[in-house]
Amino acid sequence: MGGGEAGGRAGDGGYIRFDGVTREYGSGAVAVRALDGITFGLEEGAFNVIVGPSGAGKTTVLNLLGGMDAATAGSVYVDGRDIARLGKRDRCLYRRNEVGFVFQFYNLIQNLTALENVELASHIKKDSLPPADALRDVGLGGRVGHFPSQLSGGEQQRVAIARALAKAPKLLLCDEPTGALDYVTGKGILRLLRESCEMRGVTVVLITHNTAITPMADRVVRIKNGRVEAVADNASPVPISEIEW
Amino acid sequence: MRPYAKSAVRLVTDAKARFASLAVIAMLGTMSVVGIQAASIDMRDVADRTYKGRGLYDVQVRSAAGFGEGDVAALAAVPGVAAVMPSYIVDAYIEVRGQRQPMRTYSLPTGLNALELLEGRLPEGPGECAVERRLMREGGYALGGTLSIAPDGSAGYGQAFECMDLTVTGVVSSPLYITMERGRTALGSGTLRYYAYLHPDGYALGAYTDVYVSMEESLGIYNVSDEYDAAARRWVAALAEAGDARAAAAGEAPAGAGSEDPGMGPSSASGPAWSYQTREDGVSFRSYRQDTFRLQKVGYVFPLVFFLVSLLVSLTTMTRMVEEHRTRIGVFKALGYGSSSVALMYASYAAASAALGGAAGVFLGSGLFPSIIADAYGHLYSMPPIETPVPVGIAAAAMAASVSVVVGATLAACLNVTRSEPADLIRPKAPKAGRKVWLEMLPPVWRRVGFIGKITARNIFRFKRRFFMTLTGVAGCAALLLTGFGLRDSLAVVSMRQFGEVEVYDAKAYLSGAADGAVRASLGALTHGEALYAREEAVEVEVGGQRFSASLITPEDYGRLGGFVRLFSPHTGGAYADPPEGALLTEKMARTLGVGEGDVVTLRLGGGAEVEVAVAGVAENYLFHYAFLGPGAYAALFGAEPVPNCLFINGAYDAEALMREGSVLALSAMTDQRRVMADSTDAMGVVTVVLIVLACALAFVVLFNLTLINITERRRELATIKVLGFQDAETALYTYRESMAVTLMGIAVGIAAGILLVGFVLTSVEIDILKFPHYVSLGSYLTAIAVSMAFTVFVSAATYGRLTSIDMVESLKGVE
Repeated sequence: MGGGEAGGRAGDGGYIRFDGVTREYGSGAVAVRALDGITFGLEEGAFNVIVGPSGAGKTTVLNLLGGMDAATAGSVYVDGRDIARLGKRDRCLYRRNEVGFVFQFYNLIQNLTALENVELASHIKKDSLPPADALRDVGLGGRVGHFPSQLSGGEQQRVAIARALAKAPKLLLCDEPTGALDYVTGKGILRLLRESCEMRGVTVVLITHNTAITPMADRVVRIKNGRVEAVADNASPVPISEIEW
Repeated sequence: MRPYAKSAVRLVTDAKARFASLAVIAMLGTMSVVGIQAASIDMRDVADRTYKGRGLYDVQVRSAAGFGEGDVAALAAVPGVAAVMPSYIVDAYIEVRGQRQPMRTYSLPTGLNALELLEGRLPEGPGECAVERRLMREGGYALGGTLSIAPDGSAGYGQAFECMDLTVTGVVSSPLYITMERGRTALGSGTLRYYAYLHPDGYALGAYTDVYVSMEESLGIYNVSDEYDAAARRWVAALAEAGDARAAAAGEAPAGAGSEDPGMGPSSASGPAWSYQTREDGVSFRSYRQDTFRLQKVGYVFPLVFFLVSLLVSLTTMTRMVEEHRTRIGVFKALGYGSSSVALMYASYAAASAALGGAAGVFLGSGLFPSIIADAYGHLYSMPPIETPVPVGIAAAAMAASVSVVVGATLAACLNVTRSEPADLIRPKAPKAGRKVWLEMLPPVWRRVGFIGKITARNIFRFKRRFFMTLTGVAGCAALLLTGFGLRDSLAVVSMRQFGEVEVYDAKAYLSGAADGAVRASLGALTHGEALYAREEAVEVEVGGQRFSASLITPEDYGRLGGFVRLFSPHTGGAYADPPEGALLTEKMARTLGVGEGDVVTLRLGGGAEVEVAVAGVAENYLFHYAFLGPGAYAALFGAEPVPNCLFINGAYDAEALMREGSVLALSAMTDQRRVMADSTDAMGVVTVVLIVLACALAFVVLFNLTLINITERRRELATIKVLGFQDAETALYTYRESMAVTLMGIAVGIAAGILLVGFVLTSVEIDILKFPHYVSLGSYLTAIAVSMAFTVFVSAATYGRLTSIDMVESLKGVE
């Protein structure tokens, strides 16, 4: 789904659009350019994968898209709003209301139960999903009272996804979500993300160095040395069960 | 070992803030212990030097019958006696601003008790005298002026002096008077006001009244010590043996017990006997010594708290540091360095910081504190300025304690890590697992706790050691603050209670003679409110060899006494409204003597009369000691009517006219008494302020250190929270809520501990003429609480920047 529909919007720049974005760290002679005038678009409700080797600038893209960092130059449009121009406070509200994060290392609060970790997110967002429902949706309805240390890695990542989805975000940002997981568990997580995208219509942006994942995406953006190498759409994404790495 | 040494040095340069905070805590600990102990030692040292330098007597021998040359020689012949100095000591009235005040006169010293001449010259003939500075000031005298000994009335000292009008030739300071207290006399109200020195030819007495004796051993002993006191008791025994032998040879009665108060010279003594007094019997030496020991006791309590807190702080800080370095330690171990050499590296880091801080504390403490404290006590004593050497013993002990506390904490922190296999160390440590807290066992309570409240509760109990440490830090601060304020309150309230609840009269006039009809008529015209005639005289209250100097007050009309002096039971509050069937004793004296209602005590009047009387009750009182009798009981006990010699006055009175009145010796207004009292409590107030400042510094360092640890240890968690969309203020609240909760708990614990501590300190610092009501005002509670909270808020504000500057990108990194 989504691909053709979103393609129709590609003309006006897409739902998410990086427009000549540059991000430099440091200044003067020691300045490092992580992104060098990058331009690409991503589609609403689509499963987008940004792929590239280490040091390509993937994380910087994620930081900018997640409202965790500001661009040195250029614009980042999300749903028509330039979030690269937002102030600190507005960026915080953007993170709170519009973005769900899934981290490589789950980043659950160790001292809170699964349910409470989800509540942590829903607590600060109006119109959020009931935390218990969010956990049930990721298949953890029976483990709400467990602490992270009592859950497996895959389960912890599911809690993290539930925490992200409970906010009913427009955008689900995933940073190497399978990076710390084994093959089978990793596939389970990818399936869950794909389902969330299809059933809830949430726009997924997944960042990885693992090119094997790309066939499951609706759109793939390849980044190298701070520049876009290629943008490709999959007319018919491969089901996760057929993907191997 | 070069890279190892480099790594050790870099520990310091990489973590300067941590090094500094360990050093500051060590500094505060040693500063408080060394400073206060040093002040106490320096004050004793200066006394020791002064006593020895001025050739202060060791034993004073008195005889109502006087000493002849043979008696003096007998004393000089006692083995161990270094010198004897026969002297005349006679008390007399002088006129000061129209009031007659009791003054003690001494013959100029020869060899012992050397005077310091402040101005002019010493008397050279019978018509001359040298006086103390206070008398010059208060009496308005100038050098060359005339000091007149007042006619003695019934006192009977007139024939003791060659001249009653003396020319003031000099101002002197006597080593016999090192505090403002002048002791007691049989004259007037019983309180001695001034002293003066006369030329020996100024006395018309046949025999010496006193012999001062100094002992050879005395110079070799530290004079302000228990050792000296023990020796003094030995000397008295040796001298008494000689005295008894002399008395037996003369066929006289053996010597009786000593009397503290030199009377008015040879007069109506019941039997000639020698009495022996050591310095400890002199109120001046005793109270100076007690002051220094009080200070020392306070100096033990506070540093204990400091050391406890510094132990906890260094434990947490070093544990954190070793945890942060676990990978580095793993690498060292993997390279083949032993556990002990790794532990040594951190132990030397900790030892270096504690030693540096400790050394700074020693020098600051011993240099600064004694001067501040001695300055505060300065106007209470006439002592030369103190010297402030570093008290080596205490300093070494305090340094050793602070270094070993920190090193011990470090080794404990290292133990866990160095025991682990290198491979485990190099791998990142799993984050501390979450756990249910005990509060969850109570579902009805837990359900009511809001979401954020649950998080706070979990986090508080997650890091138990840090929780207890913060708790102790805050509690210690609150307790010290409350103790400081409580000490101040209690000191202040002594005056308030004594002059507001017990002695409620407005003024007291001492009479020169009997209150006959004419006197009563003229005084009645000058007092416009209530007035009550009473007899007040110096008395010794004795039971089982323990003696107290007190004032015996016998009102003419006991039923009206309550309007001037309120006598009530400290326990029940019930007033002693009816004339007692015996003597009422004030509480502190009764408690110290260990007597209560129904016990029998001996009352000995200045004139020598001695009676046994039952204690009829114990009355509340805070300052000095008093015994009260009904007029009937007095007459029955002493076989004489209690002739009134003073007048309690309430309401308006004509002060100037009263002072001009011939029948009035002296007038003491309540407002003056309050002022005198305030002066002496001010000194302790300075010590209190020093302690409060230290407590605040401690609280700040502890809280700052802890908050920083709290933030650095949880960077990843906080970064995640921020990514989830928590605003800066919300993120801050997420952590500070814990600090606030622990602070509140710490304050509660601290206030409870403070109440105990203030009681202990007050009991320790109480001197024998004072009873401290254990009173802490509401304001002090509130201030202690507010200051402790303010510190938490201030520290939170100071660390807010660190919190907001946490980079959200941290959340993307692997586990540290």
